[in-house]
Amino acid sequence: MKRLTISRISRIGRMGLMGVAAAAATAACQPKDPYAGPLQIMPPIGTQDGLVYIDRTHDELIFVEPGDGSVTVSRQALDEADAQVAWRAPTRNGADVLVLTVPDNDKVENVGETLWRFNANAPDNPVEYDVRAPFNALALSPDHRRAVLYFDGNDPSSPLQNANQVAIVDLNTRNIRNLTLNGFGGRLSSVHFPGQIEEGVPVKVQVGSFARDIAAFLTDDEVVLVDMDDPDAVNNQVAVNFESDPFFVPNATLMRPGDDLFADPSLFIRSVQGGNVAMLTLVEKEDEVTGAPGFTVQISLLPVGVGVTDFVFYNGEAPYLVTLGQGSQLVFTDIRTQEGFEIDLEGSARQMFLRDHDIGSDQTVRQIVAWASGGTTLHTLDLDGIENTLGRKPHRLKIETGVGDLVQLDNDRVLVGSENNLYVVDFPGDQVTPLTSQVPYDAQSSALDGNTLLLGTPGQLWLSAVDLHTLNPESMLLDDSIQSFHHATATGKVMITHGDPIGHLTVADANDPSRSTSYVEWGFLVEGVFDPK
Amino acid sequence: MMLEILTVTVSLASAPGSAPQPAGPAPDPASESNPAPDPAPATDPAPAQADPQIPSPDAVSPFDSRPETESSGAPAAEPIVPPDVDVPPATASPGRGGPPDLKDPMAGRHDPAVRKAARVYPDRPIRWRVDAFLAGGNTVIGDRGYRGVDDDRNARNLHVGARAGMRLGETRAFLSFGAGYRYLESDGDLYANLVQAGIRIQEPIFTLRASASLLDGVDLFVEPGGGPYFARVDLDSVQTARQKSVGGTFDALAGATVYLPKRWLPRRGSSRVSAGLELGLGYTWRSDLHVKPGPDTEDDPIDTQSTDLGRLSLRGFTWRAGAFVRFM
Repeated sequence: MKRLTISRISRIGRMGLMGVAAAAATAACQPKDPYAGPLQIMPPIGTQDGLVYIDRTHDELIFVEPGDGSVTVSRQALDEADAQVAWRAPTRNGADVLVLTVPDNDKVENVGETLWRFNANAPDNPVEYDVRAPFNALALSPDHRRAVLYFDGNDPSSPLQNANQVAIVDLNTRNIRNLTLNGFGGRLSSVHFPGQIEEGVPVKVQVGSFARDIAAFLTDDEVVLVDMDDPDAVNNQVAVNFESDPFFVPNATLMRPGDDLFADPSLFIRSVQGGNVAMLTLVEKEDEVTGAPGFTVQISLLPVGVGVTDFVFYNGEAPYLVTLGQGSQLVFTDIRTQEGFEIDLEGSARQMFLRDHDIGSDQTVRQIVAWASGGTTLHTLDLDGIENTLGRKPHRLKIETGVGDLVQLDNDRVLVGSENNLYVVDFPGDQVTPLTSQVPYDAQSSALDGNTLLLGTPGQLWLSAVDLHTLNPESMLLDDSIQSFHHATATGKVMITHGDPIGHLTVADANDPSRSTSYVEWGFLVEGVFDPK
Repeated sequence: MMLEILTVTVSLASAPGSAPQPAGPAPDPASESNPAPDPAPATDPAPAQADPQIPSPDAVSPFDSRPETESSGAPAAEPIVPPDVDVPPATASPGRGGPPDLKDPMAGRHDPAVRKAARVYPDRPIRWRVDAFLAGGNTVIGDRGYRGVDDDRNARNLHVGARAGMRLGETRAFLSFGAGYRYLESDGDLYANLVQAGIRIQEPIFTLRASASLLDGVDLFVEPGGGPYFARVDLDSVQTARQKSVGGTFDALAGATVYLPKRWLPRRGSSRVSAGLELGLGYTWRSDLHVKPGPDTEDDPIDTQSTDLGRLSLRGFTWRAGAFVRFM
């Protein structure tokens, strides 16, 4: 054995000290904490395939798709550095998710404002649109073709902002039209698509020899009409100013296509207050300079009474504009002559809709259904031959505890919410079925799956299903209270979120929800969190 | 005093009628036993106190190879009591050989009151030793995900156990088998307290240590070891979730121990108990901890799925420092 000399011992000691020093240095070095800072995940939005969350911390979309026994979670990164999500929204059919990204901060100059469209079922190939401005409002056309981005009048998000700048995005062709409304200086408040009255059905308005897809931009005292199909829409805008009537503030539109009774299409504008409804008759007109085909409007004001709260159009023997005013008066106005008549509902009504009423022998007539929030009656009135039967009284369906909220389920049924009561109203059967509960139900947190009405009111512990054939309600007890309720129509599942920021939801079968066929998922928003990139 | 004792021994050996005796081991001057040990066989050199710093040809280390029969004659660490010697009192007229030499430093030793020999503890070579230890350590975790369950990347632990080992032949090396218990606990949070997470690990550790003495009081060692680990993961957000997992651990350490050398101990070469400190550096490997805790539910819940939260790799550079008591 080698003799242990002092030099050998000191050499061993030095090596040991070096090892200790290395250990101390390694222990002291701290790489960046991957969990520093808050986790910002926006509340989910529902699509036809499931739920979509936006993770603003990691700039990702989280798609949660329910299966039979578990959910599938996938993440899609927003391929844009130095950008953040401003807002997100589903499309009207729930097939896609729209996301607007803006620069991270004001110092970033090489990143523009981009609208992204992710398909909810296949999100890995998003479509991007350069919209050039940080718009804070979105209007989606009922025919599912277009998205109109605009500024809604809130505090500006940039130092200098064009309040009337809009972007019209064609979701199918990727065409984008950026334009400034050629109005009279009024600030844009809302966007309407008056010609599109049926969901998912592309409808254009025939103006002269051209079919036009009209969008109406409403401001405080003016309306600007744009043909979204016009390639020269920047220059071909029609603006109507109502400053002559200081009480006329446009807030609703109704498009009546031209027909045999009245050839020209008419756009009706309702005011927040006052007793007039503006009628804008669309007529063809060539551009005075270029001769290019265009259109213009002829303006008239229809005196329909005081306090108009809703309107529809009806073709009887004459083209009528039907308005609801003064709390209980139905006013029929012939748009050709501006003459008309009234029918007293003898009960309060502020909203109405039209439905087809089956009167037998395979015949249907148009029927008005009118009601008022806080009232106790649903009024129904058949409109066939109404001008010759002015004595016709509306039929009344009593809502015992008062109308809180009304949701139209389909042509024949509505759901009325009234605090701790829900009423299923069946018009053909003239039947009102009260459903009482221990807690208030929110009629808006409902969905129709075939002939099953699904109810999931936030704050409650129950998911309820009502068979609309038998009107038999069944309720399923959840393990945690409802935060939000979503019906994924493509998967046949109901997804109920509970208030956990890292993800907590219950998935139930929409057709027959029960505890035995449901499952709960927890923590899916932080899947793989301990494997930071 | 040491010099006086040696002088007395030589004088006695020179007395007429007595056989010449070689110098024996210096007795403990503090002992009250008889100072004169039994004479060793002439052919056996008596072991001397070796200076560990300056080894001399005559010096013998406790770890040196030495048959027990070559010891100074003491079968065990029993003090050697010399036979009674008819020593005239100091005040009496000198016995054979004349009056007492007043210059004899051992003159007073003729007094029966002080004639007990110094207690002697012969060297016991160390053949085995048992250590009971308590240590604290730290593993520097390389996995960034660990920051979710701790405030930093250092996994501190407490280790308690025992080792028993045998000397390898007549060498300076020892081979020891150890068993111990190690506990690790950490708490952290993710995303500004959105989720609080914690981990507790309990590990029975079995080790094999090979050590070698540089000198009496300093050992170097290498120590591989391992065993299962039992982990518990807790997560708290709005829900509370728990998980228990089992995995495997492997350690490899190298280091040094310093302990009280025999010469510092009361019984010197015959000491049976010592104490010391140790420091080890190395690497700890643990199998991945697959984190998938299930939320707490009430009785008869809806079928609840937990999410795969990823894997924690609790391994990295490690060090350990502790204290031990040695029985040998």
